[in-house]
Amino acid sequence: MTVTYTSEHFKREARLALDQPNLQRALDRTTTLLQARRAEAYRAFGEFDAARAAGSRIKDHVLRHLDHYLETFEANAEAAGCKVHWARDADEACRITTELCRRAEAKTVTRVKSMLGEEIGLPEALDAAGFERVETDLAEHINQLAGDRPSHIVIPALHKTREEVSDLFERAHPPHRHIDDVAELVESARTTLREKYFAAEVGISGANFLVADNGAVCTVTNEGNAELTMQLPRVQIVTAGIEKLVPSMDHAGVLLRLLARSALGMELTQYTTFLTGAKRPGDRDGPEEMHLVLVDAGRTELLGDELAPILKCIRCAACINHCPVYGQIGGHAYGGVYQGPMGSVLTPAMASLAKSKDLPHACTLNGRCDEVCPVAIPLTGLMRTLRERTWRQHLVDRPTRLGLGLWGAVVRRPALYRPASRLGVRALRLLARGRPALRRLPGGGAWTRSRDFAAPPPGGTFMARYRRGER
Amino acid sequence: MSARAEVLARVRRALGRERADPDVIRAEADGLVGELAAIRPPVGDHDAVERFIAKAASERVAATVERLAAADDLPDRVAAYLAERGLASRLAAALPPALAGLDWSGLTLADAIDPNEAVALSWAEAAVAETGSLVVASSPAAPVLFNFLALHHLAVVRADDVVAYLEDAWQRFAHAPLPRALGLVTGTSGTADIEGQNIKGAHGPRYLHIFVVDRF
Ligand code: SF4
Repeated sequence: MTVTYTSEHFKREARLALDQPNLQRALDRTTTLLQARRAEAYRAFGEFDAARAAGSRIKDHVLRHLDHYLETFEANAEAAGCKVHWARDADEACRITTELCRRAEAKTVTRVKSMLGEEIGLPEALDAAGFERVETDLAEHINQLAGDRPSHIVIPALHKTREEVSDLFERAHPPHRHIDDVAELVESARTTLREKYFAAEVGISGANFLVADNGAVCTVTNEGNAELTMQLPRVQIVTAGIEKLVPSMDHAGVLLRLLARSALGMELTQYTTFLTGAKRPGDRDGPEEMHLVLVDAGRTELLGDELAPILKCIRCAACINHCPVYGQIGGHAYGGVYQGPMGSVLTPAMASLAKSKDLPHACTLNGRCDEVCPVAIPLTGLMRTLRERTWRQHLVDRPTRLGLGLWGAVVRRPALYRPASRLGVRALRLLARGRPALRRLPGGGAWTRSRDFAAPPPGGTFMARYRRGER
Repeated sequence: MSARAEVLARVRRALGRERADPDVIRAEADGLVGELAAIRPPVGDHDAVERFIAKAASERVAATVERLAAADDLPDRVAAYLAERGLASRLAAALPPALAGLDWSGLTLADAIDPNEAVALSWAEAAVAETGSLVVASSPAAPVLFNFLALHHLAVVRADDVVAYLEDAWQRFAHAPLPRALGLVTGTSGTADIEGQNIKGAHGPRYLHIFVVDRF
């Protein structure tokens, strides 16, 4: 299923987001909270640098030996009674999955959100094939009712207020009464979803890790919806990107410790489950069939590329939570299924750079994402690589190219640059009339629409002050 | 070419090499987790059982914990739990042989779990002091749903089965095929999806009560 996510309108969407006070409040509250929780968790851990170096090395090692781990995992998973399928691209993965649902004679399919599923357009494919798709993550349930896309990879309904959820539930959940209280809203979803868990013929989830040496699929959730989705239906399907492998349980452990701390400031999520195969003789519950679809969808292309480090990503969202640009514009502006720094690398890298050329530019290169990434992905470096590509592939628009060309010509000639910057500083100070910042700047409306422009400090240009010995 | 062959061929093309030696890969992989001490949170000098109880009862995990000197007390303590909360004296229970022989005559035990079961009792194979997690493993005597469905999850673990770290927990399963479903349960079914408010009982248990039993 090819989905029409698009990042082409990033600038317009970002501008719209800046004008939504509700969204601004939700973003501010949540990202501040998540940053504080993460910091606290690592303070208590005390070993972030060493653990992150280990996590990063594990991921590098797996990528370097990906063929070996794929084959080992496949052999062990099949020996444990899980049927492994391979998909070259998103369409093939969706085809395999919907075909398995059809063979299971499914009417209702419960689903645990997975980023891979979103990426390959699995929800749309299931809808198009005529199944009743039930999203079981509370946030995804809300998004499904609202017809929204996830706005954050870990907290997908971050953009919704309680009142909005209340309206949605009143319409969708019998007995259609109005609820204000958050706990009661959750209870109402619990009752509705409980029926669906038992009605579904197929349950679909993703994987956080695939353990090569025993063939286990590891999922982590706080809601425990993965457990019900994977255990109750007759057929269980897991879709996973080929980069999800880890050599053994011990390697998974190193990454689990990093994942929960980085995502939510927890030592471990509430439910961490390792599944190997279908129901065994004597088992009183569990699925009759377990299938796993290993999906490439652009990953092997990245593997041989400068952007390969992004394949180490464990989808913890720490870089998103710490990104000042995300903190202002939220997730929907990014257009794709991934947001923030990881999205600004993944979306152009996996889809088309031409259609998402603005993403790697939506970054102040402040480097906070690089500092918090638990597997040490050089995110700003990768964004720079992509910026260079937009330039080389002539994706930068004419005015910007001309402007940058002119700028380049001037700065390379000090005899031109110095008088020009002296003139500029004087003009800005005149405009600022003694205030520290400008609210409006002629020709700079794009900048001042949502932030002030700092006026230059008194004392002239940097060079002038440097010569006077100001350090 | 099959999708499998094609994906593997693409991987090898991207890596610019043919097959690598599995023994070399294994040695390298082992080296990556050779120094676990440096990358695990310190568990401290506490006795592992005490540390587990403190962790499980901490604000984040939010379980309630009772330590019993002898398993014989278990049926009474379960009955007391139900009575204190005004719950009926019926529960779904998946009992291993070690518990099945106790005197349960004061309670009605169901060995199948109802979709709207209020209380379920299950057995944990181990517990982890590092995180306050229970380790539950599926088997014919231990259906998975008893851990994930009821509003009140009651779990029993032997004090001798409390280990320090996650790795110690799966070490116990290293010599046989992994149980079909191996779970770390670290609290209850929670969500913060609506305005960041922490709500328990999103899909499964809202309450987790753990019995740590010293002697059987
Ligand atoms: S890039 Fe790093 S910080 Fe961002 S989601 Fe991935 S692993 Fe987490």
